[in-house]
Amino acid sequence: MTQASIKQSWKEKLAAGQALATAGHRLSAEEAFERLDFPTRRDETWRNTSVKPILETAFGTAQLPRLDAEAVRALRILPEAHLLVFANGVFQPELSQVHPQQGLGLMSLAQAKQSLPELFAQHFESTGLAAGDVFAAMNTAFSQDGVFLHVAKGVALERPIELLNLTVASDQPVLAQTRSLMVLEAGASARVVEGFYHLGGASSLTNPATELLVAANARLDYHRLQDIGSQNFQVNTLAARQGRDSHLACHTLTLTGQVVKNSSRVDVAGQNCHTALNGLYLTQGADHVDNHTHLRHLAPNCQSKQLFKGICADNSSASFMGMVFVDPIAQKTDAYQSNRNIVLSDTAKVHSKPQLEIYADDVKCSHGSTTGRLDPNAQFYLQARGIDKAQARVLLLQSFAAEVIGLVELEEFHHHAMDRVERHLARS
Amino acid sequence: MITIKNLKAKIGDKEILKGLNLEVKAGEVHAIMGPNGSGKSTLASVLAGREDYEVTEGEVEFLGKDLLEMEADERSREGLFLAFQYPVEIPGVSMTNFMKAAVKAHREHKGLPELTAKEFLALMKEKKQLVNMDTQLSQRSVNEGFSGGEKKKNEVYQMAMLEPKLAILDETDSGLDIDALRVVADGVNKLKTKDNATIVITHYQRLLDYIVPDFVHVLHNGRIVKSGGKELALELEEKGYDWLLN
Ligand SMILES: Nc1ncnc2c1ncn2[C@@H]1O[C@H](COP(=O)(O)OP(=O)(O)OP(=O)(O)O)[C@@H](O)[C@H]1O
Ligand SMILES: [Mg+2]
Repeated sequence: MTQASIKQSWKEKLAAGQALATAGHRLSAEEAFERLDFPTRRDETWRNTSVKPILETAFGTAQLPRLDAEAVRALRILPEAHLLVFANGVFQPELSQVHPQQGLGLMSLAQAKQSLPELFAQHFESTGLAAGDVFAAMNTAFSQDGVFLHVAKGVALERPIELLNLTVASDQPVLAQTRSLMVLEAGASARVVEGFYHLGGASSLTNPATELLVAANARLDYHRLQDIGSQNFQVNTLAARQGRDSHLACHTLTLTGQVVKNSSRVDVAGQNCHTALNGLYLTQGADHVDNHTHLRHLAPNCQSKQLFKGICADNSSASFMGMVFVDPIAQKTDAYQSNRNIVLSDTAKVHSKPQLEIYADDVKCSHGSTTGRLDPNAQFYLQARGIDKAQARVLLLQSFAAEVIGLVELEEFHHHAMDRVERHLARS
Repeated sequence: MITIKNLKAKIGDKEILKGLNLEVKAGEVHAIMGPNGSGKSTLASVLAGREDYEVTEGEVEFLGKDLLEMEADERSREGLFLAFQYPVEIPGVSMTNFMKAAVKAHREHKGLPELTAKEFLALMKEKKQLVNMDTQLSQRSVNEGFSGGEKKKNEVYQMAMLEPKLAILDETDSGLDIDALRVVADGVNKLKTKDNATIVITHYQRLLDYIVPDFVHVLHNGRIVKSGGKELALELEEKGYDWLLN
């Protein structure tokens, strides 16, 4: 199939209902979608990830799935949290539950567009997410629903928010996307956990996009767990903007996926901000995980920390590409970026490219990248104390992973992540 | 306890142990001395089960079993302990988790129930006192950033935790200050019973003032070239090795 016919077919699958985007955004995003080519390995940010298997998949028309409430409950990490469930991009109100709190606006984005039109118009696509990226443009042009979170000025959310982003295919592969918009007004705080899972049937491609707007002195902890299964694809775009004195932490744990591409851009637009982008990916089989971060320091006196770690087994592969940009105005920036990988086989592959682009002179920036085998001396040392080889391996890998998970402050997610990682490693 | 017969081992193409014989009985302390590069650590590593070395000939019987048939971890659970000359730093693995896993493996092997958290902490506390180890060290990652002396203490602490039948101490004295040397040696002595045995590898007579050996062996070029009582160590201290090797 030609690119144009793939796009036409995808558009038919995605654009059947009411689009979220207002006419202006929709038009320009659709124009970008038509105009931009699907990325190839010649594109800097897709150098290590092939979209070919995605383009070769013949997606069917998504059926509205019947979801088993019990199966959905089993996926929950935070039983006390607010819950919004989406399946194949469609909001599932009967499975969702919001506990009212003064100052909390939490609903589907389609509903927010109706009931909170000013907020919607003010913030939707305000990060300019669609520009220059065919997948983000597709999301902006055709998305029909997703999450809307608004936390009013000075409000600290008591309960965390749990989002379940599910796909269920019939006998044909399914294509779905959600659009999320999270707005924290000045001094607000929230913790969000989003889980991505594929519940069965043929394969899926999900193309979620998320905008995070963190105003002055606000704090957002956003956690993603991607466990979509090894026959499925996800292209996940995130764009965030921080106001002064704000905190943003994004933790991404990727457990499975034939191709998972995470592109995250953060604009640190105010002074004294803290930004943490952390990722842990465990790849096996023929899985491929690609994390691309683009962190732009656009104001002075900010601190950013990025730690991405991977454990890659079998024929799997992973890529990390990180760009820290420091604007001339962003003096006293303290930026740290690190990518470390362990490969467990001769055939697992890792590409790592942390990068700095610095235009201010009074900054502290460092980056590093290592990829290696499990340390045989450490393994022998543990064995010499009676711990069998397999367990020694798990212990070492767990502690390698624990450094990233240890950065998660939300206790339930921390425990869940550690537990999932332990079970995952014990199996591999 | 252990009987080593005509042991030959190589790494790559290089033969390092060239037909070594040694017998250690329960209740005994043996010292192995010898020049740098003579193969002392290699012997210790081969006995502990390091896979880099290939045993080309000989046999080792440990408590009635064929030691060379066992994996390193089985050897440990059967009661063999090596205090490393160069303990390994393992970032991210806490001392506590490390010891928990090790003690659990040993107890499972003996058919004993797992210790409760409280029992385990009490055990750690007791054994730390034995070597006067800083409590804080056990909260850190295994050997990470430990000073040379702290690493050596940590080896003996682990030995105390696991109460081996046969302990091989590879230059555990090097890097210890005078007080620490006494404390560590006292610890080793306290762990001594008539049912276990110790092999101390050292360059210095000083340690042997504290841990008094029943036998002293000189290892040279992959073989034991001389054995004697504890006086042999004094003689070596005085005369060096030359007189023996020519
Ligand atoms: N991995 C290796 N590759 C090549 N040669 C090795 C290796 N390990 C040890 N050797 C060699 O084997 C010989 C014996 O080394 P070993 O460490 O056993 O000596 P040692 O008696 O313990 O010495 P020291 O008193 O210095 O600790 C040395 O010549 C050493 O260089
Ligand atoms: Mg040595």
